[in-house]
Parts: sequence; structure tokens; C-alpha cells
Amino acid sequence: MNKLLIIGLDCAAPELVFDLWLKDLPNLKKLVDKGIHGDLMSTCPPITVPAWTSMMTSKDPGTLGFYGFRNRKGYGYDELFFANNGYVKEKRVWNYLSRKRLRSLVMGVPQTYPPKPLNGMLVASFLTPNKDVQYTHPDDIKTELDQAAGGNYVIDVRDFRTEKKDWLIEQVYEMTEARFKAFNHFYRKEEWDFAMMVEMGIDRLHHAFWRFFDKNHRLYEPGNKYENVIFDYYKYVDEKIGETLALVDDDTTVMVVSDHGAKTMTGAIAINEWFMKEGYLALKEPVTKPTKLETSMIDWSKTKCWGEGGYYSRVFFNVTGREPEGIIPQEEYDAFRAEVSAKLEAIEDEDGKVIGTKAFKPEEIYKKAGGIPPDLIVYLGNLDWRSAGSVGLDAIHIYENDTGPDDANHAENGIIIWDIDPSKVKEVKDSYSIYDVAPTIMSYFGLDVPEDMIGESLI
Amino acid sequence: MKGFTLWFTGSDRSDRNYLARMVEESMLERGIKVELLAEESAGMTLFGGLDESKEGRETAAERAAYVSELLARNDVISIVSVDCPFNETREAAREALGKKFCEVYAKGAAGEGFEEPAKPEVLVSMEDDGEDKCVTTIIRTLEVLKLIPGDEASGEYSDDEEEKITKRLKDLGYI
Repeated sequence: MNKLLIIGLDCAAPELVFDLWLKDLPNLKKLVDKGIHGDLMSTCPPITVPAWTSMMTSKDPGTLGFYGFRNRKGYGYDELFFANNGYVKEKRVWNYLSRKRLRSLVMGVPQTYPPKPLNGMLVASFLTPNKDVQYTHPDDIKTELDQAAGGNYVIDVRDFRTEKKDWLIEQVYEMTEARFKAFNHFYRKEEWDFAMMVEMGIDRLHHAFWRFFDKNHRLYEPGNKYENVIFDYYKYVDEKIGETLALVDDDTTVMVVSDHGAKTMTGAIAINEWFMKEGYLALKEPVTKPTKLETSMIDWSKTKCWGEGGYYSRVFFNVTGREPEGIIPQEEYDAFRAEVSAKLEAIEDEDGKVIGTKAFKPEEIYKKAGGIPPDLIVYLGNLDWRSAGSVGLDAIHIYENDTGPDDANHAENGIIIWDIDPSKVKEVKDSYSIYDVAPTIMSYFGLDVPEDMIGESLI
Repeated sequence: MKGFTLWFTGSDRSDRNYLARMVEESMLERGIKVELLAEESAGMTLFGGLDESKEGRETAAERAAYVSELLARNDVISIVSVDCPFNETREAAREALGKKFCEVYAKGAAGEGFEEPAKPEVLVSMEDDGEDKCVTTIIRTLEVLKLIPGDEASGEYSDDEEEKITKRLKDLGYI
């Protein structure tokens, strides 16, 4: 009987794994040499939520009804919800496998809190508020989980936003060590048809240490103390993967995936400052020092749109009859959207060079735009720049994140490695889609691929 | 969770068995221990040597009821879907299992000699409602009867939790 092990490495970048460091990652290299590998094109936007859920459901963010971590619940100005597992209505692969009596071990996959039952066990991930709540299924494995992890299972790094870099490195190693220990314990304990874990450490270290390693980062200093932090951690993760691979039997194939990649962050565009400068957004009172934009600060009678901060920006319009104090007439919506898109796409850097921003219309890029979609999804400088939502910055271009230091942004390509016999793959390619993973798993287990999955099986 | 028997009655074997299987899969999806005792799954092992006569069908139903009773007392849920047109046989199973018996009547075209159940706990019709609605109705009834737990994980955080999550996601750069 076919069995499958998936090791997820949030944010693992193809340029690093395949182009730069493969020879130093012997366990990943072994899998690459045996099977297929390539880029894995992420969702739009390439963010942990919704990307992992899109990977496991083969549904796009519009169909899932969430476009990032925080989403609008209604058209009111403050109605936001966090898209945790309670809002995931589509079936993930382990739901289908459970229906056929196939057992799954799921650990750390983003957006699985609060946990829902399955045929097997599940440990939720970093949307878990704290370890006192029920974050596993079944509930009674929490003690064993901690014990297996060496005393303390770590859901995610604490206090990520810190300048104490050495301390942060320690935290990440501690988390990874605990997760692999715990995973290996449960993986060894039972015979699982499907087992999957996701480790967040790579993402965390990319964001905190990219400037020290990427020679193209404007703050890079040759020979700095932290130059090899990311490389060393990739080697360490490879070693941990090797320990897990030692537990794998001959009936099992192994897939390694990431939900998106990483790239140098040039800086941030203060999106709401920019809207104010363009005359689209007005505040009730002037703000003179850096301040998080609260919707209560906005003068809606003079505001046509506003944006959210993050690795990309979601832009919302203030539409008559839709938002409580909307001022854009509905019949002018399309024209207004075209106008704003064109202006966003023309944003320049401080030297007057167009940065290559892309503005997406949800209904054009998704099968359907469920929930309350943003009016535009914006990649500032095609993700070379992040979005800063704060106001009072007195600048459009800022070079320190308004929520603290951050060196890397997300890139659209993650990775996929699968040690399956390449002759079994329909077409060996350089690049695959994140939506192909779930249908591939269905086929691998001999199950029909549901018609509403948007990807295609690789086998 | 306590064991019980979910007994599918219906003159259309194909609809009845299909629905029973879909309900079984829905329960499995929730990690519930459940077994399906149907002509197509338990097959020759349980129903071998029986013909289509009244006696044969009664015996098949009695065997299914017996096995499901054993399972129920060990807290395993069983779904029975056998060709059992007779009220008397079904009522005997109901009596044997007491509160651990729940009957689904999958209404279809009237079969020859088929006796409609007098008081099924759930009444569904594939023809009128379609598969999804039938399965939802059955599962929801089992939830209301507290035979199985509800499935909905609440997505809502307390104010305190929301504050912590917001801070963490901001720290991580996501929002």
C-alpha cells in the first residue's frame, strides 16, 4: 500500500535549495536525485495563509473565501476576522483520506487551529493562541506531545520582532528540534498512510536574517557575524530531515514542499500615505508621528480607498451603498478601479524608476471571489517592496518596516521535491503549481480527484 | 462516544446503500469509529447462503442486527443497510437495541411487498433532496440526538486571544 510523507518547509526558496546549496544538503539532494523537483508556483498572494490551505485543498483563495490572515467579515469598516481553521470549509486531502479509512498524522500545518477531528492525529499551528487551549486532535495527546518534544513542544517562536539576534536563533533551533523530535516519535509509533509536518523556522530566519546573507540587500555587510545563519540553518534542517528519512519504509515516498519563496525586501511603500498624497484618503485630524491607521481616524466623506499593510497590500474602496459612508458611485466603480490600478502600477522609487507594481482584480484571478474580497490585491514592486499601513510617516518610501525590522519579502515560487520514480510522472517539468499537490496526493492513494480541485495530478 | 446502530430502510437498494456509504464516509471524516454492514460491504461473510425469500431476508436482517448490537455495546457505531422490507424484523432490531437504534428511511419508489416504517427517526428522499442534503439531514439529526458530536470548530477568539494573535502576526510581518 502506498504511503506518503510530506515535509513542509515554510518559505524554503528554490534559488537557495536548488541553485546555491543543494550539494551541502545531502538528504534533500538524495530525494532530488531519485525523483523530481522544481519550483512550486504559490497562490496569489504568496502568503502562508492561504497558501498551505490552497495546497491541501487545491482551491484558490477566492474559493476558500480568505485572502490573507485578516479578512473582512462584512462591508463595515472594522469587521475583520482572522482566517483560522474555523473558516476553512473546503476539504483538505486528509479529510478525503479519512473517508477512505486512511490514517493521517498532521503536525504544524498552518491554519489548522482550532483542530477538527480526522482519522488520525493533528497538532495545530501558529494561529493557536496559547498551549492551554485545545490545539491537538485528539485532545489527550498534549502531554505525550510535550514529552516527545523533549519537554516542551514549541508551536512558533516567541517575540520574533527582536534585535536580540542570537537569542532568536536559539529560539528557532529549539522550536525545530522539538518539532522534529515530536514528529518522529508519532511517526514511528504507528503506521500512517499519510504523514505531514510543516516547519516554520526557515520563514522566521529569512525575515530576520536576510540582510546579513543576501549581497543584494542594501544593508548587507560582507563578513558580518550573521552571514551564515540562514545557510547553517538549512544544513541543520537537512540533517533533521535525514533523521526522519531514516524512519521511512520502502512503501513510502517523500515529498518536500514550501508554500512560497523569499526575496530581498527593498523597503516598504506607505500605502495609506500614498493614498493621501494622491487625494484618495483623508484623515479627520492630521497625524504627525508614525501611527497605525485605525479606520476611526479616517474622514470617510473624503475617502475613496485605504489599504492594509503586510507583505502585499489589500486595497479597499469606499463605495456608495456598500460601505456605511461610501462615496464612490457604484456606476463609477470599474473606472475608479482602473484609475487606481494604473496609478499604483506607476509608483516609482525615490530615483524615479517605476518599481513594477502589479494590481490584481480578485474576480479575474480566482475561480470565484468568495467572502468579502479586497477590491485590489497589490504586489508593490512585484513584491520587492512590502506594504506599510501606518500613517504619519512623512514619506512614501520607508526602509524599516513600520512594525519592526524585516529583511525579506515573500516570492512567488516555493519548492517541490518528490522522490517518486520520474517515469511515473506525466510530465517532468521545471515548475509545478501549488494547486497540483492535492490532486497528486489523491491519485497517489488511488482516489478520484474531485472535479472542483483546480490543479492537476502529476501522476 | 457511545455505540449505536444507524439502520437504513428503503426499497431502492442502490439509493439506500449509496446513502449509507456516504454517511459512513462523513463519520469517518470526523474520526468516528464506524462500520458499515451492507450487502455490498459485508457481502458473503455475513449474508452468505441467503436467498431473496422472506426468510432469507429476515435472516440477513437478524444477522446484521446481532453484529451491530455487539459493536454498539463496544461503543462502535454501525450502519446497517440490508434488504429488509418487513416492519416486524426492523422493530425486533429496534427493540433489541433500545435507545441505541436510529432508523433512516430513504424513501424511494415503492417496492413490491415493502412496508413503510411507521416512525423512522430520519426521513430523506434522494429523488427530492439530492445526496448532499440527505447526508446533511442524517448527520444533523444524529448531532441533535447527541449520538455524535458536532463538527464545527469555532473560529472565534476571545478578545484576549485576538489581541495576542494580532500582536504575533504583526511581529511576524504578516499584517
